Amino acid sequence: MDKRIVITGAGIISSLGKNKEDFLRNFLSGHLAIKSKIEDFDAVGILGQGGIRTLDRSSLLSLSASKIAIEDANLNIGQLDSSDIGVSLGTMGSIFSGFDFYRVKLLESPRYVNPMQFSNTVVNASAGQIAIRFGLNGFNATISTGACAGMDAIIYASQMIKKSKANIVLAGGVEEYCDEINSVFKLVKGEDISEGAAILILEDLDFALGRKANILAEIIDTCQENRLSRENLEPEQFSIKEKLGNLYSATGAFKTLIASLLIKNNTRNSISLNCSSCLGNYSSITLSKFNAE
Amino acid sequence: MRRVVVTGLGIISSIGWKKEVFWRALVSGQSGISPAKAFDTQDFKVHNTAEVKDFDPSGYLNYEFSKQYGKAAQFALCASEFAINDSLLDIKNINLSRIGVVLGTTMGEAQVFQQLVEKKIHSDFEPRDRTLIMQYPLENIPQAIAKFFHLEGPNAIFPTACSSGNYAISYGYDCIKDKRADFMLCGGVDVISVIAFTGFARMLSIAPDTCQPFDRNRKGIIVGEGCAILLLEDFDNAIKRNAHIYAEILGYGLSCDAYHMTSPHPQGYGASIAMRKCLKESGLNLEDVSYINAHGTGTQANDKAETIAIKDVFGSLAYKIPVSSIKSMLGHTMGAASAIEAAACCLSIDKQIIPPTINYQTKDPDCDLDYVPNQARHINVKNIISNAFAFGGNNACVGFGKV
Repeated sequence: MDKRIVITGAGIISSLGKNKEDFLRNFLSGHLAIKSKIEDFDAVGILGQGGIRTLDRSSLLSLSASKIAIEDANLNIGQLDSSDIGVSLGTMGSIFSGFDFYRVKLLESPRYVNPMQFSNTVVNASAGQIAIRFGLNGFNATISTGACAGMDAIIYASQMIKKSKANIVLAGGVEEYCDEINSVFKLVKGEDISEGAAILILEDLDFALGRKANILAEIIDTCQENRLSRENLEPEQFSIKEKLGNLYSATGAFKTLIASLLIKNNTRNSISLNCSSCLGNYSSITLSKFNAE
Repeated sequence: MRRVVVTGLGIISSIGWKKEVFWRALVSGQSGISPAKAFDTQDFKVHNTAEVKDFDPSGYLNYEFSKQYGKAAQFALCASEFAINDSLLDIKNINLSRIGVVLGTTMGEAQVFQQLVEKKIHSDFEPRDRTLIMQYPLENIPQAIAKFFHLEGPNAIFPTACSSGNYAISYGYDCIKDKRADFMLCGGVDVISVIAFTGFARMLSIAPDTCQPFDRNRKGIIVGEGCAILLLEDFDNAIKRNAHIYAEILGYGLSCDAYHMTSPHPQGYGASIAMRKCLKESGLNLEDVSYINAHGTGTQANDKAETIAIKDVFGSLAYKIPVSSIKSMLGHTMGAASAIEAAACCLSIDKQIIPPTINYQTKDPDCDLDYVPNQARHINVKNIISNAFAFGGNNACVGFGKV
């Protein structure tokens, strides 16, 4: 019998609230995240001073959301087999780091480029930093499928658990705000980019039950297609753009996180979510209330 | 349970951008390393790269279409066309929703990104920059292939740095095994860039002359570029259509060092985990492995840690299994590296020859395995483990077997 995948923790960094309760309350009461950049994001307050000085903003956002998610899931990583805990992240990476790195090389000299910043320019910097920070030796995937990336990262995580490649996966999406990428978004999409990070803890049901985890929701179906023709596109289900802006790579992760909270607090029994990118990627997830039967 | 086989190869590299030329150069120990042509290196203390020479896609079907894309997508389009042609797959008569594309990359369209930064330094983006901007997103590269060949199967890109080619192959393998697709074009691509060259140069990781993996006097990597695409399909289907099968993909193992962003774990901890997972899924005993295609970058840290990891996994058998690094010829092609190495593994199984580690002169007490020094070797190649390790401590190993 196929393994069942459940969500047992959620961590969110958003301008709509500093914890999931505030976030959901504000989301449901119609608050708007009017700022593209999260002005009151306090990485030091969440992560402490140690080891964060040279990290890029994407990594700080995703590390912070991961820490909150791990605590929310009551995961004691030190007591688990770390090689069975994976990371799956949807992101464009830290565009600012790439811009800044090359700008220094161009305007000054290669000698003035900070070698510590080079690793921030690779797209998988955030996923790597999550593994380093929390000691996770399982697979470490980064996926860049545009607006589907966050959802694709969650689908990949659930596939990997089903195939016994991991028992637990930190899965989600992150997008950082910087003026450079925002000017690109304004030109191409006519809107600002929003930043944020949403990380979910996905687990094999048996593993979650074994450690008496608090189950938020179950992933009962996933789908990934490439719809080149753009015909017969399904309308977006469960849109969050009006309230949170364009979170791009992180959109699908935010949708899944919000849906799992709504299911947990009995607002809904099941929710279907989808994302599509302008190039053709189409992804969907259906969540339902966990039923032991 | 489906078995997954490789039936088509497309390769673009500094030692040749056609399969036959590549293989001939590889087994004759030809180096693709030479002074950089893509950019001026006068501000640097190192000057060599491994660039793709004389790349000329005119005459191929994708030529006109590919002009709207950056160089990485052009490489990937061309390599995909090569792989499809090589497989003799008549894609016009196949349900195109059953053919997917998955790639790996480190920097994606890095040359496009550089142009965008150069523009932004002087002024804000203007509507006329839209074409250039639209070339940048990473997902554009696999989507370019999908769009050209009208492929509506799974489509993704894994930017997991220098292990991304193997991540892509592992994803393609799963897609076929799980019946999410019947054919997958899988591989990796990266193009030479000032950003990558500057980064590795500032980390003092670039060798001043050439790449000498596992040699005591190794001084670092040579930044390279290239692309390899493998056509994966279900074994039964390949037999049914009488396809030439290069090799079977037996399984894979993924792990993370969780140690440092740019340095490997000194004891090869994560690398050992990935190799063990790969052996387990591939159903291989230690003595079943005929050859290990090493990550072998030519840095002091990587080659020592990889040797430790191989010895940790294989014990005394490690000394009997040949291990070689083709980065000695191709430089480090980053996201393309493990895809090109996968293609080399397929050809090794097909031709029963393993490629050498060139530029090997002095034995290192820390690297004391059989590195196939300087000469290709005819052996009975049954099963291969191909290693790829990356920034972020990402490790991905793939197992290949003779059908």
